[in-house]
Amino acid sequence: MKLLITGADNVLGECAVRHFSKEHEVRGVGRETDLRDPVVAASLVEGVGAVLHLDGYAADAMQAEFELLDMSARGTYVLMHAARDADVARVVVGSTLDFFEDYPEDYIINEDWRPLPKPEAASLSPLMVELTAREFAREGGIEAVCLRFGALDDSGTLEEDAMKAIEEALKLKFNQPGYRWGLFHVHSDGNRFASTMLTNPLRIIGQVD
Amino acid sequence: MASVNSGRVCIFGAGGPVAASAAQSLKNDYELRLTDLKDVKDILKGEPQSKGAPMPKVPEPPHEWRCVDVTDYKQVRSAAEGMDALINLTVLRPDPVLAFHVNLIGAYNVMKAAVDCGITRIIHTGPRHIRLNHEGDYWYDFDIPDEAPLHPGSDLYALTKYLGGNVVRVFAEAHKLEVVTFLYCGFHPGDGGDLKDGSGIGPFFTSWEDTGEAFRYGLRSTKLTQPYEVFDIVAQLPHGKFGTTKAERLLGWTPKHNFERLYKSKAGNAKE
Repeated sequence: MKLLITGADNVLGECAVRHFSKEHEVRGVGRETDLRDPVVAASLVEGVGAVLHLDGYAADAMQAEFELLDMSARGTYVLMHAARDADVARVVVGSTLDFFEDYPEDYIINEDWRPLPKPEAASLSPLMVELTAREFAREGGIEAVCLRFGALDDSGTLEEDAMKAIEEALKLKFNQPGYRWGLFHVHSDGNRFASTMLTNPLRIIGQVD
Repeated sequence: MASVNSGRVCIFGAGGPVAASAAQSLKNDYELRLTDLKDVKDILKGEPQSKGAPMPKVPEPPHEWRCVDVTDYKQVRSAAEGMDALINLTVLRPDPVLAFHVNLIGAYNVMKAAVDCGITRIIHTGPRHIRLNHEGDYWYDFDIPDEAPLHPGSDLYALTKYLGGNVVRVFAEAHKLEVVTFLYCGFHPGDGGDLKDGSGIGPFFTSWEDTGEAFRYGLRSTKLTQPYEVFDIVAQLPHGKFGTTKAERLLGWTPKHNFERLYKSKAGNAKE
């Protein structure tokens, strides 16, 4: 399958390009490619079976706030439009578990918990990506699975677990009619994060027994 | 709770009809800094947004007009300086680039300026879309509460305002502000304008006059229960879809114009 991977210059995207290039034809693009340009986005999704939109995983806090918010929100909007127009079957959205830093440390957080981003562009940026992608999926014509990762190390999500989760997000079947959006926490330590989707075919990493 | 009963209020997006109505209602009690991308004299060379929609007026002292680009943080910060409250009425609908800049980044800039200037009372505004042509909208629902989450789908205007609203909420909760968010859909003059008796009306319409009055109540409310409080600003219409209960309870605002002649039959109107 042909895969488009955005965010190929962040730690998650780099890892995904390495991993998925073994079995797929991968087109990786980093921030040098402006996803906000509809012509660029249309050319990127042409002939692609699925998009791994990982650009929002690691917002660059040093980037100007205006650019950060615009690239996250409008970049996702233009990309989702292009993907839907090109009949791309599946978009996997990479997001972050940083949203939940402000909950007490002894709470076990699953997808039912409301994200608490900080009032800063870098923290709001992945939320803009999530909400935009979710609204496209809700409207129909495209399916999206959002995966929230921790830091890609042994304090958060191990790289192998992250890649496994993306593989399964690509294969996930929406068994219940009416749903075109899936949301999963992917963390390698089950003491902090969990998933409610116990009956879902997606293997839940870090699931609490 | 720091209600704002007098003092200085900055309105962003003052060139639009909702702002024109708000300014008319606030001008006797507040000193207004009216800001828009365009100068008021240039705006007045154009046509009203729709028939019967109010136009801004050239302000007389102590009020002032200032050209401000809401997408430029420095300009927004400067306009917010010395204000007691901010009202964000900026909106841009059809342009696929500027809609994000104005509706999302503009909202971010206004909230950031509020925090930087120590302003706690902010009125934010946005659309309550009735129909967005997907199954997640509320077209077939009734008794829809003010807090019902917006489901904008991929509609450019609805989505960008929705993202902006989420940003405003994050600021409000993190900084414990007092943000009042007003949602609107459609507007008519209070008397229904040129519309014929019995011509019908949708479930979410507000008179221009009541629209402006709601801002006075939004600035003065002492009953807000959350940092980000959403209100449907709508006439009392009998469809059973939307209502004014929350606005009456927490703001004390009740619409005066309810368009009875539009939804009553000729016989019903003849009884009046």
